[in-house]
Amino acid sequence: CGFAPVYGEDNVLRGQITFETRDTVPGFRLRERLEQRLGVTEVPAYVLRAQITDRRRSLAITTSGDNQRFNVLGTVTWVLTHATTGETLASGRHETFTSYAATGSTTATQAAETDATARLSVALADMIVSRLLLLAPGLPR
Amino acid sequence: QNVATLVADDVTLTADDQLIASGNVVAFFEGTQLRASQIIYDRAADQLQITGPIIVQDPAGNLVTAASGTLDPRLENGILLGARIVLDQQLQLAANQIDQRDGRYLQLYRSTASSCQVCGNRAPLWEIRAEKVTHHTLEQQLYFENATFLIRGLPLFWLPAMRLPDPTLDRATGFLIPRQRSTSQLGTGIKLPYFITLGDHADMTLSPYVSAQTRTLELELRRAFATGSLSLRGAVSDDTLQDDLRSYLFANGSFALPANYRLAFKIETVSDKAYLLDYDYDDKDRLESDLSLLRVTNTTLTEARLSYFQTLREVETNASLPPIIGEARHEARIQPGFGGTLIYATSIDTAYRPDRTDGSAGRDVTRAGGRAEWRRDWILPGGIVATAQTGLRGDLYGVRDDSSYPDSDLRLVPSGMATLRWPLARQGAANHLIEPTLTLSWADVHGAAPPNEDSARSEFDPANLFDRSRFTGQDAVETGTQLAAGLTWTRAGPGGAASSLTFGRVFRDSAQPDFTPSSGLDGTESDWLVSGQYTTPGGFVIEWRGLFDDDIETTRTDGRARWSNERLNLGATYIWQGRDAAENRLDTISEWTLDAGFQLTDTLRMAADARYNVAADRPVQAGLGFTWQNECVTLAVSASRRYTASSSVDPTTTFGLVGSLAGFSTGRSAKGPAAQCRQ
Amino acid sequence: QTQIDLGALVVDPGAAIEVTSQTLSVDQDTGIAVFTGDVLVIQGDLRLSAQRVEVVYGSDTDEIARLIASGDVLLANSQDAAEADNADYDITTGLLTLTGDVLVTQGGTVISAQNMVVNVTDGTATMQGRVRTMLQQGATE
Repeated sequence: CGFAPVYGEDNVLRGQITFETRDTVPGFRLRERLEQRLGVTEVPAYVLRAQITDRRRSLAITTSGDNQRFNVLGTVTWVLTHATTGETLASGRHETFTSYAATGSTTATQAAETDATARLSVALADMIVSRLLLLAPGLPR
Repeated sequence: QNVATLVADDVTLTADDQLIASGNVVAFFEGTQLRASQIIYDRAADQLQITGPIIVQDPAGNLVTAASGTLDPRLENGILLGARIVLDQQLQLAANQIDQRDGRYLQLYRSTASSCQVCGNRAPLWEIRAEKVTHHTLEQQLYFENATFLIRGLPLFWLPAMRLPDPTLDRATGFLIPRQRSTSQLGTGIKLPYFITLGDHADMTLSPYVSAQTRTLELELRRAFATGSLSLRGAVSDDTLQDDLRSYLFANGSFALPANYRLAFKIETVSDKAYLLDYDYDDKDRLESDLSLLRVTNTTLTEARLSYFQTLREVETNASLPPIIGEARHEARIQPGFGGTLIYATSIDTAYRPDRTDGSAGRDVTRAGGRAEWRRDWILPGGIVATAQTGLRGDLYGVRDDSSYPDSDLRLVPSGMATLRWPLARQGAANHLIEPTLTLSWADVHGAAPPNEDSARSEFDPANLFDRSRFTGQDAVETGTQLAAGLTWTRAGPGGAASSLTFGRVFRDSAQPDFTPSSGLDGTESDWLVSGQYTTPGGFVIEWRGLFDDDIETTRTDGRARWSNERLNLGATYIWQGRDAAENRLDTISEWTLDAGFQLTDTLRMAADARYNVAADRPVQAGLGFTWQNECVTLAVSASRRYTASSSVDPTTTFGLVGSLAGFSTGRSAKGPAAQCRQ
Repeated sequence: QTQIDLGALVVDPGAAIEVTSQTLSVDQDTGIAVFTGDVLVIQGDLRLSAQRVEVVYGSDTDEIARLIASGDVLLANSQDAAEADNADYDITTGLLTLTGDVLVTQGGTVISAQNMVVNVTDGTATMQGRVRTMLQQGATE
């Protein structure tokens, strides 16, 4: 049906990208996931710069005004450039959300918020990886 | 000494010591440029007699036009007759005489000031007529004397003296635009903010808010440092809703420290539970104050945070929240010689409840622990990405005020996981990518189970579908053998539209008691996870996620949609989640929210937002606002109602009205489109 | 000290004209005399100097009708001066026309133009062609 393995002959992009993310916790998680999915940099042929912004929205508010859930909405914008020429090869913007319950104790809610923010970085990283795997055949070596 | 330069088509020197320049005459002096039809330079009087039409442009870009005038050769002192000044292409001041002093003062006599479009001889929307206006160009201030404010030529009010900043001024101490605010509880009141500049790096805004029911002073303070910033907002109120004084304070600051550390603090405190909602200062139901130190590098994360909580919820008491939580953690990734990636992390966290009663209400828990995890990837023939992971976690728990748990207890959790991911792509008009993934993992616990404080509210979504342990914290760990299977299909359409769909499910040999029914991860087979998204380059996004058990009963479903372009932005969210006593949620959640903004006409914009609790069949909050903005006036009318009702908070309806004149820096907002003159 | 001003250059066109130069050549039949080499023409307060001055005598009388000067023409009085490439002084009409990079300095004021016409009878001077005037700072300084 026309589908071919992405990693058919060569290990597409693996170890060939230098990642640049911001020195924040979401940036740290984003880079960690990108390295898990595309390999730690060995021979940098490309540079991927990615930047996350996130914001919280309260949700499921009870009649007495208690916030039972929160959505963490995140957007990532990324640019892939050639490591030597610096030419921009591809860029993109993705957004998604994770959510967490706030009906538990403060410990449970704080841990749930931290975990939801980390999951958001993972989800956005996976969206970048999926897009890069689709673009890989067209990228110059 | 510097001299003015005249350029003209022809120049005549007359017997009585005059130089007459005429024909496209332009005079330049230190950035000021003056155009006129004729300039006579009388050398004896050292004066330029200028016949119009005169156009003077000063270095700041302000324009002065006049019919005629006399100026000194430095174009700084003199009189312009029948003149009009345009400041920053916005504010026009017309006067039949303007005196110019040393290039710094402009005195306008019998002047009118307005930033509105003047069509024919119809009176502008608003204007200020003054007997004398002094424009101090260095201070960037306009001083009006004997001024009358008119709307469409109708005098509205008269002021003996008035000072307004000119449009180019960014910061100056003075009154800001007053705001009218009436609410069902506090009656009709007015807020009159007064802005005070405290040097170049700090400012403060004091806003008295007075109505029949309240006398409030609001304060906002901002301070910028070389390596950080501090901001603080608060208020003190004496009102009829409560006997004693009410107040709140929100402050936060962050500072960059050497070696890439960042120190940040946040203070949130309020005198009583209803104050923030009564005055619409914030809709938080739990206040968190914390002090944190953070350092992030490419491969390490170091964080320490001390948090103090204050609850505004009816059902909770501060003493057993727990109100005080401290945590410190360090995490690092390295590539060891033998390949793969090694992650090691150490962390300590503690939760303290002043409440002494035995059991969950008074329990204090402290945990110190560490984990190490090694993972490595291989590309197998056929393009399968295989990942092997092994891990070990050890935690020492100390529990007080809860006899059902030992005072201290060590727990060790060895674990292992194998992941197979087989990405398949099809290139064509639209590019498709299918990523089937399978994980097999195992974990075992040695030692007693600690109280589950930080993993009581876990979620199941595509981001943790293939995690080894999906609990949000350390207190609970997924054990036994489990298999997770799923598939993500991504389509990048030719026009830039993109869509993705994810399916997944987790199968395990033993149910995990710490997963609540509504998390979708309880039992030996998790709920079906389905999640999809569709986006178009035109600014449309729709995303939807669902958890369904075997007979397609919904555990939870939530979605959101957004469409935005220049004239319109629409946003909607919906969530449905079943009742779950284990998550302290006794009613079903079914709520949709809507917020919309329409640019109805070039000058009129409508904004509406609503939140409806379908389960309780009651609105939660609704708001509607209109903003009318043209080139010289911004008028915003808003109405909103919050239906929240509890023993301390009553439903409130709020109406707001604020108007501002464009052209003065106080009223300067994004200038609206200039209305065209209707012939 | 009366301020004699270029603008107020008033000369009686009938006054005697004295011309001195290094060499003089006269063409008998056309009646044209050509002075060359540091030529200086003096008439009352007017001083005109040039490299070459052609004197044209009236057809019926031996009065000078026109002076045509060229080459570093300088028209000056005690305080002001006007330089040009050439000048044409028509004694009968009292109009002295300077052409070619005319530069007038009058006290501190400097005026440059393409041509200037000085009417020696009423003392006015008119310049045409994108005249640039550098006004001198007056006593207010």
